[in-house]
Amino acid sequence: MRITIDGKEIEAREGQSVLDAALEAGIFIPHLCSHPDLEAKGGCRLCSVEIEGVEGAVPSCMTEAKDGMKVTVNGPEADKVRRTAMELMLATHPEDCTGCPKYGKCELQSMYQYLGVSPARWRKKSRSLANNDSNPLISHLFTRCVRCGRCIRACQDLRGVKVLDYIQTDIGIRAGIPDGKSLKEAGCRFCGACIEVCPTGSIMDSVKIMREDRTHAENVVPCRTACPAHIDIPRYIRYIKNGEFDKAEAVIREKVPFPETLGSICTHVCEDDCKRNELGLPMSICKLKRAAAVESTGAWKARSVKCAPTGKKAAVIGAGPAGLTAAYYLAKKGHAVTVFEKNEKAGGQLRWGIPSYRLPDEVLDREIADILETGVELRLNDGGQTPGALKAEGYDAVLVCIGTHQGARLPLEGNDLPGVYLNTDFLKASRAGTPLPVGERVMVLGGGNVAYDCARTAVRLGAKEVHMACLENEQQMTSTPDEIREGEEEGIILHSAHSFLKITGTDKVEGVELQKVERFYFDENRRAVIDLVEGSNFVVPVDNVIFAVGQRPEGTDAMGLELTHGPYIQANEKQETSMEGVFTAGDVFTGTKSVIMAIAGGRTAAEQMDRYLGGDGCIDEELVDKEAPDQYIGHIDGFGDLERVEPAVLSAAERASDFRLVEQPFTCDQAKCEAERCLQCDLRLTLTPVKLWNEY
Amino acid sequence: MSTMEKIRAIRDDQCAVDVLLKEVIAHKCNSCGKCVFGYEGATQIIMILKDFTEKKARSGDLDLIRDAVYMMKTQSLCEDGEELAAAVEECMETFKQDFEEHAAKKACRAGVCKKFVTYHILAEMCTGCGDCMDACEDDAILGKKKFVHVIDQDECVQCGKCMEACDEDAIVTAGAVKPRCPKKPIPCKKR
Repeated sequence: MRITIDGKEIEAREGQSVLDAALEAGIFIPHLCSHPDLEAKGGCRLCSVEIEGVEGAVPSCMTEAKDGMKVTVNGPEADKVRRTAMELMLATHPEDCTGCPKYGKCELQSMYQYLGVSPARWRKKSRSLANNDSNPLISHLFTRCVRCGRCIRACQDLRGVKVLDYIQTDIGIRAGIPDGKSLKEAGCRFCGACIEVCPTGSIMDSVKIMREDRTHAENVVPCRTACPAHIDIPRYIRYIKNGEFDKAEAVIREKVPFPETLGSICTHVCEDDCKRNELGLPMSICKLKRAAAVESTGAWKARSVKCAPTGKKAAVIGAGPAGLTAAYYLAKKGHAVTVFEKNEKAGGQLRWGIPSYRLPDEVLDREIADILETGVELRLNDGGQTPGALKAEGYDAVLVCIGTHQGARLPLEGNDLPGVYLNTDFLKASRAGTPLPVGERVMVLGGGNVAYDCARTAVRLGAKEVHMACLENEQQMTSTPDEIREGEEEGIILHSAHSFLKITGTDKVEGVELQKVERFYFDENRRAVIDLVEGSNFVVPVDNVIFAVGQRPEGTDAMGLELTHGPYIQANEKQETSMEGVFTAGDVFTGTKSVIMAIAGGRTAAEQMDRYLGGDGCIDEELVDKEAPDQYIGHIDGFGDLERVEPAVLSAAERASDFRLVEQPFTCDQAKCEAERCLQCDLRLTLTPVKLWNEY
Repeated sequence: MSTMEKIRAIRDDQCAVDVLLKEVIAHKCNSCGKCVFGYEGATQIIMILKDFTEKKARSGDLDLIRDAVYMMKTQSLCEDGEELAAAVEECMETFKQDFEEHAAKKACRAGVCKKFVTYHILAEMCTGCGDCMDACEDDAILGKKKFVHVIDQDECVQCGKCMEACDEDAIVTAGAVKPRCPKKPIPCKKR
């Protein structure tokens, strides 16, 4: 149907309001209490118009468009209504726009600037009350509430959470939580729809969670932002909640080819930024990823695309997480990819650095097999390749990602006595099935996760007494609290805040001399300062010592590439090295980091190399249709306090004697239950953004 | 009783402005907040009427109320706003003189609005003791010992402290009809 607005004929749909039809056609009619995703109520009257044949002004949001309707936006009557309404709203609204956190983004401010009205002829009244920052994540500044009711309609009708309502207070009516309850007590689901639809600065994200260097979307969904590969976490958690594990895995696989591996061993920085931290414990994002991978049937493969051959050849040196990820995406882009691996099996640190009680061979084999299915050629036991030689052999691009596989040995007296091992050698030998012999008592020097891997491996190899010593105190240690707790359960004796003076013994290790650390910190020149407690020396008698104090790249000096910080490969932000067509990724470039960082680096390398090889550099995939999430999330009593679900873990007695998997995946029900806790922070981004008048 | 019915039942000893103010405060529109004209309109009418009763009216206030009423009548979200607007309108029409006198800061005929009440010292009762003068914080009472005291109406703030201080019941309040009192202190008859 056609309607005419200010003489201009526009198209309108059956059942559409005059306001919506006008806005859709790019004709601006002022409005405030209406929102594209909420039912119109007609409370503010800013959208008043005049209609031929109808007496007086009518709100256009509540007026259904009829064929042939003739509408005048700024007729004298409508204009008077609109101006008076704005004057009255301003008369009880604080005047200090510049002091408001919504300044410049406020719909009320934009609207009164458009109308150019002032409340001067009316009585001014301030309905001021203190800002309420006592709730997690959401700040209430209801002094600025204009009673448009958008937050209430969003909370009640759109979300079905039914927490916000009009409340009567001694200073007037406003939006709020009835009965003086906190958001948690009222059953808030912290979805943030109220924040998103508030036209003024009355409901805002807590200042501390909004970082200025991030976009709105990045701030709103911090888990996805924090993940180095930017996996769409809320989206896959939502699928898990609905029991759709195939779709959940597909979402994860849109960004990474190692879902179950990551679900088992990821350092999950996403959880550190999860907004649920403000309510209690974060979402168990990592373990949910594992559940998705374990429960799915691999339906994603049907959607996985491989481009036509490009005729280009790419070589990857090192089959770790970075190299395999890059190889996977390069192969999918149609390039012929060969991966050269020094060892007899692919996996890099996943295979040789992480003990099998955390990541079994079967999981790794399965996920690597999926990668090889894309046509990647894997050459095992093929070390010593250099990028220069490979290029000469006809490879158009080369990726060097050989990791950091050489353990560091500290310059201590006795550091080369028989019985002294390096972390990398010790873990690799164990994983290869030819473990280095351990005596009754073992001392691991170091306090990170690798140190725990060594100590817990020693326990499993039969050591009766396993010690760990590190300079850091328990708060400073880089190992995760879970690791420390599980190690303690397995009987590991931790000497945190201890310095190692020397390894004693004449022709074999007999002990380690330790001294208590008073204070350990880094000074302004970032040099380590260690204050020791005098006279606190003692010797722990042991048969073996394992150094777990960092690891470095091995063999990079033979690569013919520019290096930095010693053996690390120098590259720019595109991960291009000093040699044309040669790229790098993973630990050998970044220093020893996490598996997810290596995978993210592998993705970047694939993008850059594809571009170098003449492609578009786009490795994004859609392995599952983008479905619109359910807006109606409903009310759950006590939602804010729902407890984090923990998976079954073998008892220390059961697990410490062999390399059985310590932690079981979530059961289906556990996964669904844990997924239910998600705040679905991304849901508010699906609300239609409101356009200000100057955007029409 | 509806607001309209209460307005129609206003008696002579009631002040129409005062009754209307209380009715608007008690009206549903003042505790709903779902529409701008119902809620903010009522808020404005309350603030203006309150100023009327407190002798703080500003010029143009009657028109301001009429503007608000007009909008409430045609643009409220429900019939409550329309009903309130009609009641205010009728009240202002029926008791036009009362509203105009309040708006001009002249008088409250019924003697209800405290700020319009005047205090007077009856010449035949005053003993010239000076207690009221001592009690008055605004120096609004003229007189000397054994002379009938006189309240300067321009200075008086209607606090009522003189009335409490007087043991002779010589001080009275008045609404529209004022007692005859001397303009200046004269010697007392009563001793």
